[in-house]
Amino acid sequence: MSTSSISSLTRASAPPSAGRARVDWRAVRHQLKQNPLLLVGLVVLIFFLLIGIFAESLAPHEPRGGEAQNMAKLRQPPDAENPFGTDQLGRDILSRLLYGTRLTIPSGFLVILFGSAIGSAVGAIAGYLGGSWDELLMRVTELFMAFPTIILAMAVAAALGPSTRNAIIALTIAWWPFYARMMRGLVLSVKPNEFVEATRSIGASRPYILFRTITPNAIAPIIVMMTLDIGNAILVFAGLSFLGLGPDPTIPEWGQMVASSIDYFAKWWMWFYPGMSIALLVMALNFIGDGVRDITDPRLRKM
Amino acid sequence: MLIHTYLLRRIFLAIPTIFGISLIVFVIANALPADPVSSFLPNSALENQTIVEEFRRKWGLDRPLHEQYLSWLGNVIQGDFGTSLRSKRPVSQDISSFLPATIELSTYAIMISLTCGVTLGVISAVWRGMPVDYLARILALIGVSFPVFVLALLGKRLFAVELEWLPSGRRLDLLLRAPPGITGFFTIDSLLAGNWRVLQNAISHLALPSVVLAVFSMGFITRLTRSAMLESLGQDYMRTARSKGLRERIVIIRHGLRNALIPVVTIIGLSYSSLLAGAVLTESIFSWPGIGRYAFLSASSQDFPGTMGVTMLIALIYVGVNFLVDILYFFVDPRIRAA
Repeated sequence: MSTSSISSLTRASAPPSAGRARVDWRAVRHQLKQNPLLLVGLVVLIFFLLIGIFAESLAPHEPRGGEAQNMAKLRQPPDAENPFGTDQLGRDILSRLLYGTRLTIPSGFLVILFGSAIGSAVGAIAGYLGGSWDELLMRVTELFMAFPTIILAMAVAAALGPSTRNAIIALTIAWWPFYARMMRGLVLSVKPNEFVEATRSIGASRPYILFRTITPNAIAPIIVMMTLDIGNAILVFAGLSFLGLGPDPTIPEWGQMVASSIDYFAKWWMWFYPGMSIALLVMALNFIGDGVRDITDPRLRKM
Repeated sequence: MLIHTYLLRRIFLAIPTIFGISLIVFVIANALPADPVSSFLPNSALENQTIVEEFRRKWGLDRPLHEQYLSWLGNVIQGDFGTSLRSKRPVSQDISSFLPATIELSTYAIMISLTCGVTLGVISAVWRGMPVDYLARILALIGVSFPVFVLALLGKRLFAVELEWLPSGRRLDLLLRAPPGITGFFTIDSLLAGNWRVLQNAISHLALPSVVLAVFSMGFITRLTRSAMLESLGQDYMRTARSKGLRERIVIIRHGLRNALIPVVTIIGLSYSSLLAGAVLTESIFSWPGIGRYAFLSASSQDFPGTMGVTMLIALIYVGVNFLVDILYFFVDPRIRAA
C-alpha cells in the first residue's frame, strides 16, 4: 500500500507531516460516480446512522424493560401493530432493532479505535527501536495472532464476565496485533527517509521523531485498514454477543436477538430481521472499505 | 534445503509458540478474572466459606502465579484441562469425543472454499471488468459480510425446512448407527466399512453445514486469488509464455495461477482458523456434535474450564495447520528448496 494514499482525495500540496489537508469534493464526486458500490455503501450507512440517532421517535414501542413486554403477544408473526413481529417476551422486534443500531455501530468503531491505537503504538515502537525490542514485541504480537480473533475474544470475555464493556475490551485484545504488525512495517519503510535524518540532526528527541515525524507519514494505510476493518469488527462483536458474551440480554442488540431466537427456529421473524440487519450494515461498511482502498491504492486503480 | 532440515527447523520454531499460547491462556484464565474462584465455582458453592477456602487450597490459588502456571502447564501437558462445570466430565474427555466431528466438518469446508474460491478468483481476474467479474466480486463481498450464524439459519430454513432437500442437523439420521470409529470421520469410516447407506447419509448431513461454513473463507480466498492473479497476469513471464505459442489455457494455469498460488497457500492457515471460529457459531444451529458447539455451550453457560480448554485446543490446531502449510510451501515455492 502506498504511504501517500490519502493524497488522491486531498490536494496533494501538503509537505510531509503538515497537518490538515483539504478535501477535494470534485474528486470525491468523481470517485463516487466511478464506484457505485461505494455510493450504495455510504447511503446504507447513513440510513443506519439516522435510524440510530432518531430511534426514540421512530420506534413504535418501548424496546426494553417491563413495559416492553406483552405476555398476550408472545412470538407473534409480523402484523400491523408489530411490523417485524414480537420476541419471546412479547417485545416489538422492530423497536429493538432500531435501538440496537445505537449499540452495534459505536461498539465496532470503538474496537477499531482502541485496537488500532494500541497496535500502532506497539508496532511503531518495535519498528523504531529495532533490535531485541523489535524481536520481543513482534514475538508477543505473533502469539496473539495464533488465536482466531473470535476465539481469543471469547476466552477473554468469558474470563471478564459478559457485558458490553467487557466485550469491547475482549475484542480490542484480539484486534491490536494486526495493526502492530502493519505499523511496524510502515515505520520501517519511513525510517530511512532523509527528513527523519534531518529531524534527528537538529537534535529532536526520540519520542518526537517517532510520534511527530515518522508516525504522521506512516498513518495513511492504517486509516485505510481501519475503514476496511470496521465491518469485520461489527461482525465479530455480533458473534460474541451471539455467544452470550456481549451485552446483557435485556439490552436490545442484534447478535443477542438472533441468539435468543434459535430455540424458536420456526419463528423466522425472530432471527431473520436482526440477522439481515447485521448483514446489511456489514456489507455497506465493506463496500465503503473496498471503495476507499480502490481510491487510495494506485496499484489497484491501474488494473 | 532438504525437507528434513526444513521440517526440523519448523518444529523448533513451533515450540516457543506453543509455550507462549499456553501462557496467554493461563493469564486469561487465572489473572484476568477479578476472582477466579467465582468463575470456576457455581454460585451456590460461593456462599459457603469452607468450600471456597478448600477450593483455593486444592487448586493452589493461594500460591504465587508463576508456581500456579508451572503446575497448570504440567497438567495440560498430561492432557488435564480440569473438569467442565456443565458436563461434570473432564474437559479433555469432552473435547476428544467432540473433536473428530469438527475436524471432519472443517476439512470438507476448507476443501469447498479453496476449490470455489480459487476458481472464482481466477475467472474474475481473467475476465476482469466483464459482468462475470462483477458477479464474482459481489458474491465474494457478500460472503465476507454475512454473519455465519445468520447464513446457517437462512440455509437451514431454505434447504432443510422449505425445500426439504437436506437434513437440518446432526451427523447422521437418528435411526442409523455410527460406523466403527477408525478415523472419526463418518464419511471415511463408512467407506472403510463398505456401508453405502451410512456414507450417503453422512454426506447429506455434511453438505449444508460445510457449505455454510465455507462461504466466509471462500469470499476472502476469491478476493485474494483475484488480486494475486491480476498481479501475476501482468508479469513479463506471461508475455514470454504467450510468445512461445502456448495455448492460452496453459499460459493462465501453468504460468499465471502457479505463481499466484503462493499468497493463497499462505492464507490457508488463516482460513482454517476462521473456519474453526465459524464452527463455534454454527455447530449449535445444526446440532453438530463438535467442539464448536461445545465451545458455544461452555461460553454461554459460563463454563470456564470448558471455554479455556477449547481456546487452547483451537490455538494448537492453528499452529498444527500452519505447520502443514509450511510443508506445502516447500513444494509450491521452489525458492525455499533452493535456499
